[in-house]
Amino acid sequence: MPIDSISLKGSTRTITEFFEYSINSILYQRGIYPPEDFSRVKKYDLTLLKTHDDELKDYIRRILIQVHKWLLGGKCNKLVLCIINKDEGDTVERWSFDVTHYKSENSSEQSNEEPESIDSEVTKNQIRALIRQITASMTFLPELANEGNYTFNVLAYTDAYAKVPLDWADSDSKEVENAEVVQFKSFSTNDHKVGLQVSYRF
Amino acid sequence: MSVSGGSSPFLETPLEATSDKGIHLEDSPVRVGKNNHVDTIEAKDRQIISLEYKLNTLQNEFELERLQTQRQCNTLDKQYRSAVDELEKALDDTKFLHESNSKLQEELSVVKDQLNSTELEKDKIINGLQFKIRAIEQELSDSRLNQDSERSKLTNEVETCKIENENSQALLAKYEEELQKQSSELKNLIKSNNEKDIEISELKTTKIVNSHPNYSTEDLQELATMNRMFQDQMKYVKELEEANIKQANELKRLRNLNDSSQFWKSENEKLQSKLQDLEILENNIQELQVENIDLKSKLTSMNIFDDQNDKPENIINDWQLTKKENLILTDENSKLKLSVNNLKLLNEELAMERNQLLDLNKNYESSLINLKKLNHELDQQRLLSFEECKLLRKQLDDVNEVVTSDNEGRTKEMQSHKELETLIDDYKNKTDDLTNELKHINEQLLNSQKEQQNQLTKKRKTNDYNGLSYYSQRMNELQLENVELKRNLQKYQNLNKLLEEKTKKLISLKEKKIRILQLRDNPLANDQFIKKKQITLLQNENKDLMEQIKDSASDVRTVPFSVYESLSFELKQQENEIFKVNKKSVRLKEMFNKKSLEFIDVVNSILGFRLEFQQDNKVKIYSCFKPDKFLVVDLVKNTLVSNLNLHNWDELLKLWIEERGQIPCFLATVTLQLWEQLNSEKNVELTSI
Repeated sequence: MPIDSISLKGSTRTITEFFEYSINSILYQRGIYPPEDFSRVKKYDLTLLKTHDDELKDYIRRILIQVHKWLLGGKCNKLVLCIINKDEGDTVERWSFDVTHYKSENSSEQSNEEPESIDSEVTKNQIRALIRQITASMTFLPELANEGNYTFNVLAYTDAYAKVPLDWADSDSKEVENAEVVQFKSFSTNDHKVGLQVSYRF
Repeated sequence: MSVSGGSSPFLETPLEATSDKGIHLEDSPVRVGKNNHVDTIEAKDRQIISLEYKLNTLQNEFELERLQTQRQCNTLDKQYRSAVDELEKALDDTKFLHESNSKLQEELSVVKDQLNSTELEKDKIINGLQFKIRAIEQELSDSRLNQDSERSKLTNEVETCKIENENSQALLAKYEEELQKQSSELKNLIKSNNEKDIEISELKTTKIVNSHPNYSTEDLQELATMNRMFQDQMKYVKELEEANIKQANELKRLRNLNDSSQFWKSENEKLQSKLQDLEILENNIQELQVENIDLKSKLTSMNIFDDQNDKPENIINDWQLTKKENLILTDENSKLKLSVNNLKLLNEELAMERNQLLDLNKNYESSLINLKKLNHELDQQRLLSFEECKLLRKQLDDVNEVVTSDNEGRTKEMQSHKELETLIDDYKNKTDDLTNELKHINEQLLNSQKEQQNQLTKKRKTNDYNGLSYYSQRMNELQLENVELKRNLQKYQNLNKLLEEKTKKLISLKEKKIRILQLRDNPLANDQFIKKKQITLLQNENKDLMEQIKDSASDVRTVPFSVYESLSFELKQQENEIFKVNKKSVRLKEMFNKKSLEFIDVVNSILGFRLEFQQDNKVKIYSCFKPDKFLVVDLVKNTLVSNLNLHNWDELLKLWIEERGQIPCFLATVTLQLWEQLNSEKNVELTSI
C-alpha cells in the first residue's frame, strides 16, 4: 500500500465529505435552495458551493455523521437524494450514490472486486471528475418548473441489522415513475467504490 | 355353397342380397311374359347395372379389405418378428444368466472347498504351533525351576555371607578393642620400662657414686628378682608383639572379608534387581500362560492336529496369506452374490419381458386366426359371386332367346348384352385371378411363416453360440451405461450442491433485507406536516362554519375557535415566511456588502482612490497615497472640495475641470503629484537618517 493511500476511516471520511459537497452542489444547481444560501469554497481544486443556512447545514451534518458511522461499520451501501415536488409529493429526481465495500466482514455478499491500493491523488481526481459531471448534468436534466416549489429528502440504504438511532425512521424508496436513468462516473478508495446515477422524470 | 356363420358382417348381407335378387330375377321373367319384352329388357338392364354396381362395390370392398388385411398382416408379421426376436434374446439372456449363475455357483462351491482345505491346513498349522508352544512352555517351566533353585542358592549364599559379615564385623570390633587394650598395656609397659630404665640409670649412677660397691645379699637378691621380672616382662612384651602381629594379620583378613562382604552385598543388590526382573518375567510368563491357555482352548475347539513340523515363520506367513486370500475370496463371494442378485433381478425382468412377449405372440396368433377367418369369408364371398355370375348368365341366355325371337331391330341392345356378358366374363376372370392371388398370398404367408420359423430356429442356434459374446457385450454396455449414469449422478449431485448453496445464499440475501432510512426531521416531512396541519385546521374550520351556518338562528355573531386556530397557524406560517424573507434579504445585503466591498477594494487598488458614499449625495474620495486626506464631491451642488493641500490645486482644477472637463485626468494628476510628494518625503527622511 503506498504511503498516500487512504485507510478505512480516511476512506469513509472522504466519502462523507464527497456526499456533503455533492448534496450541496445538487441543491444549488437544481435550485432547491436559493443561491444566496450558498457560498463558494475551494475543494478538490474546484470552486464549489456550500450552504451557510444553519438549518440545512445542520440537517446535512446530522445525516452525514450517521452515514459516516454506518459506512465505518460497512452497514450503508446507498445514499439517495430525492428531489420532491411539494405540491404533488412526487419524486422528480433521484440522485443515487451507490457505495461498494471492498473489504467487509460479510465478504460473501459484498463485492468480490479486489482493488489495488489507490493513491489519494487518484481518488481526488476521480471525485473532481464526478463533481464536474454533476455540474455538467444540469445541461441535460429537465428544468424544474416553479423554482422554490421543491424540497428534498435524503435516504440511506442500510443493512437490516444496522443500529438505527431514534431520529431515523423507515421510508419508502421514493422511486421516480417512468424515469430516465443516467449513470455517472465513479471514484474508488482503498476500501470503497462510490458510483452515482441520476434518475429523472423524462 | 356352404353358409357358415362367420363373425364377418360381409357374410350375411351378400347372401341376403343374392337371395332377394335371386328370387326377384327368377320371378321377373314369369311376371314379364312375352307381351312386354321392352319392359323386361329395361328391367334386366337395370338389374345388370345394379349388379355391375354391386360387383364394382364388392370388388372395391374386396380390394380395400385385401389391402387392409395385407397391411395388418405386414404389421402383425413385423410385430411378431420383433417380438420373437426379443423373446429369443430374452431367452438367450436367461439361458446365459442361468449358465453363468450355475458357473458362479460351481465356482463358489470350488472356492468354498478351497476355503475348507485352507481352513484345515490352517488348523494343522495351529496344532503344530500349539505343540511347539507346549514344548516351549515345558522349557520355560524347567528354566524357571532352575532359576528358582539358583535364586534360592544365591539367597542362601547371600544370607550366609551376611551372617559371616556380621560375625566378622563383631570379631573386628573385639579385636579392635583387644588391640586398643594391648596398645594401652604396651604403652603402660613402655612407661614402666622407661621408669625401670630410669631406675637402672639411677642405680648405675648410685653405683658409680658409691664406687665401691658394697653389695649386700639383700640387694643382690632384689637385683636378681628385678632381672627376672625384666626378663618376664620382655617375654610378655614379645608375646604381646606376636599377638599384635597375629591380630594385624587377622585384621587384614577381616578387612579382606569386609571387602568380599561388600562385593557380596553389591552382588546381592544386583541379584535382587534381577529378582525383580524375574518377577516381571514371571508376570509375562503368566500372561503367556493365559495366552497359551487361550490357544489351547482354541486348539481344543478345533480338534484337529497335525504333525507337520514347519517353521513357525513359514506357518505364520502361510496363515497371513491364507487370511488375505480368505478376505479376497469373501470379497469376491460378496461381489458374486451381488452379481447373482443383479442377475436374478435381470432374470426376473427378462421373465417379465418374456411373459409380455408371449402375450404379444398370443395376440398375434389370435389376430392371425382372425385374418384366416376373414380370408375364409372372402373365399365364401367369392364363391357367392361365382354363383351370382352363373345365375346372371342364365338370365342373360333367357333374355337373348326372347330378344332374338322378338326383335331384330334391337341388335344394339344385344350388343350391349354381349358387352355385359364380356363384362361378367371379365368379372369372373378377375374373381378367379383374385382367388388365385389370394391362394398365392396364403401360400406365401405360410411359406414366410415357415421361413421365419426356420430363421428363428437358426437364430436360436446362432444365439446359443453367440450368447456369451452377446451377454458380455450387453454387460459391457450396461457397465458403460452404469458408469455414465454414475457420472451423471455425480454431476447432478454437484449441481444440486451448487444449487443448494445458491439457494442458501439467496435465502440469506433475502433474509438480509435492506432498510431505507430517513431522518424524521427532514425538509419534506416538515413541509408535509405543515400542509397536513393546515388541511386539518381548514377542515375543522369548514366543519365548524358549516355547523354555524346550520345553527344560524342565533343572532349573536360568533367565530368558531377553529377559525382562530387556522388563522393563527396561517399567521405563524406568514411569520415564518417573513422570517425567511428577512433572512434572505439579510443574506442579500450581506452579499451586496461583500460585493461592494470587493468592488471598492478593486477600485482602490486599480485607480488609487477609495470611494465613500455619504448620505447627503456626497462622495468622499481618499487617495491611497494620503489616506488621511480626502476630496469631497457634492453631486447635488456640483462642487469639489479638498484638504490635500496641493500647491497647484487651483491650476489643476482650472486646467482639467474647467477647461478640459476631464475629472479622471484631474484625479490622475492629483494621484501622481501625491505619489511624488510621498516619494520626496521618504527620500528626505532617508537622507536625514
